[in-house]
Amino acid sequence: MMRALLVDDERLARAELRRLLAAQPTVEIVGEAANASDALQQIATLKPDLVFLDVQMPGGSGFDLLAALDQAPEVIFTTAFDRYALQAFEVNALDYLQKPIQAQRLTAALARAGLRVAREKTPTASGAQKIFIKDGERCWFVNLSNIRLFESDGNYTRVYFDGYKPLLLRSLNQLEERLDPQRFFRASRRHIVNLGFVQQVTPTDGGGLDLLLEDQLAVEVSRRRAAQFKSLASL
Amino acid sequence: MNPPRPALARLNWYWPIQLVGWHVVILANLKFEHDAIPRSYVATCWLFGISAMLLSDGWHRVLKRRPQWIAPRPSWGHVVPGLLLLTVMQTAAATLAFAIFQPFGLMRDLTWLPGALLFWFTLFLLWTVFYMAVISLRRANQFEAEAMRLEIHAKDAELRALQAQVNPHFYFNSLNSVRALIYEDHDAAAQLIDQLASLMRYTLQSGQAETVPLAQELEAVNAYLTIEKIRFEERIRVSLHIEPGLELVRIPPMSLQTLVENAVKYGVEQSPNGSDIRISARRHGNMIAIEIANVGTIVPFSNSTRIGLHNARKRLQLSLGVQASLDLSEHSGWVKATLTLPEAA
Repeated sequence: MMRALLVDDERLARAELRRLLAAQPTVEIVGEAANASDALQQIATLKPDLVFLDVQMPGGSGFDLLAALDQAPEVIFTTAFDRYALQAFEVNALDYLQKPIQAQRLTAALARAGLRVAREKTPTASGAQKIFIKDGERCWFVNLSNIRLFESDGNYTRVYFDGYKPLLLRSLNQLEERLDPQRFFRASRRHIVNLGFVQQVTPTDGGGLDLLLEDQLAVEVSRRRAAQFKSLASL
Repeated sequence: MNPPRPALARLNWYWPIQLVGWHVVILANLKFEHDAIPRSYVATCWLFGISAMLLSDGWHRVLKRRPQWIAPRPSWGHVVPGLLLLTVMQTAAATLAFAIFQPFGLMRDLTWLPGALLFWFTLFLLWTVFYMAVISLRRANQFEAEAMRLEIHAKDAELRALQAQVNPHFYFNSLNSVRALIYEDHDAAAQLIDQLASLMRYTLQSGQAETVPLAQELEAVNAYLTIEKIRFEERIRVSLHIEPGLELVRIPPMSLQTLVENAVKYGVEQSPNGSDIRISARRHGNMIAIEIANVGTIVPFSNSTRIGLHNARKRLQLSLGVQASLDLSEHSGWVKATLTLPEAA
C-alpha cells in the first residue's frame, strides 16, 4: 500500500483525483494540500511514499516545491497543458499525467511508482534516495548513487552526474549533513566525492591524496582528511 | 484603409513640367540674341517650341505603351533610334519655322545643320533621362507601398489567428472541472458545458469581424469568468461596472477577453488567496477607458507576455486607429490594464 499526498490548488481537481484513486487498491490517500507551503509541511510530517503534484500552483511551481526538499519522494506530476513544463519532462522522463486524467494512464503510472517505492523500502537498497535539481528551466530527478561529485560554487553546489553538471541551491555543508558518510566522502572544503566512482588514488608530496574519478575528474584530498579516507577505504 | 496620398503626389505634374521646360528652351534661345529681338524670331522660337513639345508628347505616348523600354533597365537599343527620329523631325520643323518667318533672311548653306541636330538630340535625350528618373522613382515608391500593404495584411491575419487560438491550459482545466462536477453536481456540470460551448464559439468566430460591440465581448467574458469561478471558487471575485451607454462601443473581438484571462492568470492562479477582478468602462472626454484590474505586481515580463502585449496593441491600432492604446500599470498592489479608445468609431 502506497501512502499518497495530493497537491493541487483546485478543490475540484483534488476531488476528481480522489475519486479516481478510490478505485485503485494500491494507494491510500493520507492528505491533501492546496499550495506549495502547505505541501512542504505535509510532506515533512506525513512522509508520504508518493505525491501527486500539480505543476502550476500559487506561490511556486511544483518544480520549485521539489527543489526545496532535501529528499524527494516519488512524484507523479499532474498538469493540464503546460508547454514549458512538458519540455522539462521530456528531458528527465519524470512521470506525469495530463488532466483530465484517464484511469488507464493512472493505473500504469501507479504500477511504475509501486515498483520504485517497493525497491526503496527494501532495507538493503538504501541507495535509491533521490534529489530533485532545478537549474533554470531544466529539472533532474537524480538517484544519489548516480552522483559522482559535489563541488562547492559560492552559495551553490555543482552536481556531477551522467552527462550533466547543474547547480543546486544548497551549500556543501548542508549537503554533507544528510549524505551517507560511508559513501560520500568530504575530500576537501570544496568537494564531496562518491566513493563508488573513485578509480585511482595517488599520494601527493604534501601528504595528501589525488583521487581520479571516472570521466577524468580529479579531486585533491587534504592531508588532514587523507587519514580519514584511508580508514574508510580499508573497510 | 490606404492613407490618402498627399496633394503634391496627386497633382498631375506632366503638363506643367512640359510647359515650363520647353519655355525655358524658348527663352534661352531668345536670350541668345541679346540685342533687339525681331518679332519674327520670337514667332520662330515659339513655333519650334510648340513642335518640340508636341513631339515629346508623342514620344511620351510611345514610351507609355512600351514601359519595357524604360524599366527595369533602359533599353537604349530602342530609345536611341527613337531619339534620332525625334531629332530629325524636330530639326525639320525648326527649319520650316525659320523658312516661314525668315527672321535672319534666307538660309543659304547647311553649316548650321550639325549644330541644330546635336542641340535637339541633346534636349530629347535630357527629356528622356528625366522621364526615366521620375518613372523609376515612382516605381520604387509603389514597390515600397505594396510591400508595406502586404506586410500589414500578413500581420493582421497572423494576429487574428493568434487571437482565435484556444488557450489549451484553460480548456483542459475546464474539462477536468466538468468531469469532477459530473459526479458532484449534475446541473452545475451541464451549466459549465453551456458556458464552455458559448465561449469556444465566440473565440472561434472572433476572426470574422474587425470589431464587435462591447456588450457582445462582455458576454464572452462573463462566460469565461463563470467557468473560472467554478474552478477557483472563492479565490476569484468579480466586479463589473460599465457606464450606461457604452454597451455599443466597438472593440476588436477578444481584446478584452485576453486581458481578463491575463488578470486571472497572474492575479488568481498565482495566489493562494486569489484576487478581485475589476472590470470597468468609463468615458473620459471624447475617449473611453476600459480597465481590467487584479491584485498583484507586474512580473518581469517573459518573452511571451511582451509579444502578447505588443500584438494586442498592434491589433487595437489596426482596427481603431493610432489614437487607441493599451497600457499596463501597477498601483498600490493592483495591476491595471487600460484600453483607451476614441469615442466616435
